Amino acid sequence: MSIEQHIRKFAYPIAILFPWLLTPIAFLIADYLPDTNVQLLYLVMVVFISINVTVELAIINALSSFFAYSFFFAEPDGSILIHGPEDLFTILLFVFSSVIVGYIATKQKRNVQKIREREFMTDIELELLEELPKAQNTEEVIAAMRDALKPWRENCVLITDADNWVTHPMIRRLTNLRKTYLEELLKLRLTPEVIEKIPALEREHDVYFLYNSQQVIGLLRIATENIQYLPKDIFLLLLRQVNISLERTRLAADLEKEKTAKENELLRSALLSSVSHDFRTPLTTMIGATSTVIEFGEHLDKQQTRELLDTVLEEAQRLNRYTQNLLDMTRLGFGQLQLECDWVSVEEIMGVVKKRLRPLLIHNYLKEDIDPDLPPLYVHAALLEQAIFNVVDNAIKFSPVNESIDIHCSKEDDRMVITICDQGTGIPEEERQKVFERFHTAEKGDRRRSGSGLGLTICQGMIMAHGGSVSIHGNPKRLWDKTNPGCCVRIELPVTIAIEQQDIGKSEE
Amino acid sequence: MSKILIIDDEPQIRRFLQIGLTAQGYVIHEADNGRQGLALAAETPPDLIILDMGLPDLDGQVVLKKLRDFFHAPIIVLSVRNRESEIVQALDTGANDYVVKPFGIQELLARIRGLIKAFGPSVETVQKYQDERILIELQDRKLTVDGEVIKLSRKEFELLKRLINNAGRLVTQQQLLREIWGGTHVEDTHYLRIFIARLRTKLGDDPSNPRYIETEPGVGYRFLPSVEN
Repeated sequence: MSIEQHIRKFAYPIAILFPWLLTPIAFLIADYLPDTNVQLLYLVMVVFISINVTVELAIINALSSFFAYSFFFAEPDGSILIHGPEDLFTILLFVFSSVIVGYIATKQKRNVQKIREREFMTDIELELLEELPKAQNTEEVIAAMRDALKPWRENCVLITDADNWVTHPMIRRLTNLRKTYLEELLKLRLTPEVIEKIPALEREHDVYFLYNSQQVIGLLRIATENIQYLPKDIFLLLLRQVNISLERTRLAADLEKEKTAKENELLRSALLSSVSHDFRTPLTTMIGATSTVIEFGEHLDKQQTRELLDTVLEEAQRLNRYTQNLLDMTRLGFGQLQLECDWVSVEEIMGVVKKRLRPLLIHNYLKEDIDPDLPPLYVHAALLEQAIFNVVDNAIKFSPVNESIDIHCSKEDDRMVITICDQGTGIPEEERQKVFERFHTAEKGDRRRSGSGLGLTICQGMIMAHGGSVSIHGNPKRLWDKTNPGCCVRIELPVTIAIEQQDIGKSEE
Repeated sequence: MSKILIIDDEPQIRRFLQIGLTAQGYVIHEADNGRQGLALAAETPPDLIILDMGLPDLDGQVVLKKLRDFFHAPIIVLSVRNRESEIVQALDTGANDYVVKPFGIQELLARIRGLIKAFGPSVETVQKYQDERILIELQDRKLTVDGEVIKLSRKEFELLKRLINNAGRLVTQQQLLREIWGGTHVEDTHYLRIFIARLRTKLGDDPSNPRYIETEPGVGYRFLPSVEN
């Protein structure tokens, strides 16, 4: 390509000068050739130029050769005049044949070029056809298209909404569209009638539309005048594929939207039923107990009054936990959870969790086993605390009276592992993933101590926000027990390497 | 008897505080908004103020700042859970401790007792802490655990001194860092974490069952007053 460009740049001087530069060589060889065959030398050069450059230049070259030949070889030498009629005839024949040869050569060359371009285009199309089905959304389709257009980078403009297209100077300059008209065009809601008009619009403005069945996604302008040859049929086919892909991703997105809307609807109704059930149960107890104290206070002995008030307190605390869970859930759901990490030890977190758990540990007790010398964690303490609290709270709910809840903290490779095990009825293997779903509760109906079904979901959300994971396993210590096999929740957190000790050493004195 | 001013817009909360605190022998003043609270605090200075951070007329932080212009006795703020940044800011502005809503009366009473004691006339003369296991003599920089004298580094000692001088009160990480390590180190909470860990080891304290030093993760530390209180 670049050699041809160089030749093109100096095409005219080359076409005119070459025959004259060739002449000394022709002189040297002329002695070994019959006179007329000297012309063949010139002819070779003309053919060469017409193959590699253009036929016009080949003609100029032929004329120049004609003068060079008549000057040096035809009688009289040293003059461009020609005496012998046979010489004149030979020379005319020479010009004529060089024009024909040049013309045929050029045409042939163009054909070869066309075939090459088509092959090139087909390659691009095949590549694009491979990429398009992988595209998940409009942006990816456009990106694939941009990628395919790379070979014509300098001569084409593809703009979409993301490029602030209405004010994009390139497209306005290239298409001569008025700004308002362009705006209208781009915001237009497409209907089958409008889509039918698109080819006409495309021709009128010399621009291609990228669109799905609802709206125009992008505009493509190709400066064809600067491109030697562009196989239009293949190109249009390619555009058509892109438009089909745009429609496909639109449909997929719509489907996704519908699915989320449906899920949100489900969530809303689950939330409502959770609020009505989980909030009403403690409220019922509280209203009942307090009204009893108010109405019959004087007939109750101290012990009974105390018992009723204890229930109110207990239920109020339960309500408080639900509220906290709901708030946490909404924050997790809306991605508004901001991590404010700091260095904290597992022991310190456990200290706070235990303080909060105290009122809940009426019928059960905690057994702790924290490995010594555990590295500190770089976490948002309040969130990790809530996560562990929720798991233990859950474990208490499913623990038989007087059984322990075992907490074990250790380090495995580069992960901190916190396991919370209970001695309860356990969770069947096929249910273990489900417990992390929102509003999943093991207890159905109005059974005592039912939860909001959010605790473990929140735990998982908070642990995952820290780059950790939560999983459920059987309790390995109770494999012998078929009725109460127990259950272990395993929380894994990545351990970030703590700041070097020597740094602290320096700060010592 | 100690006078306590409650600044809270919720009448039910004021009511239950009034009943609970009066039963403990405190004299209660009430204000249902920030401006009234500021006026009352200026007119008849109480011994302690309980300030709700969510007030209808003024932002709690603003009230706190204005209070601190003239009021030097302890202030406890009431905040909601999971708002550590709000709590830290309040403590930085001059609050002495906080209680998270909803709270039980025992929790609040413990805070009030700790603060009133700490702000009492004997603040500067705390030179000694003693219980059945340990003896801390601040003047001699001496720590004795189970009859055995334990060496403390200068920074460890400074840390312990500040915590004991504020026994029962929350001391923020920033305050400790600023006073012991200097203003450029207020972000270096890991220094503090390591020194607290060393102190705990020397005191034989278990962070998951604290007997002496309690952590409020992300906020600060509190030296727990002796059990007899």
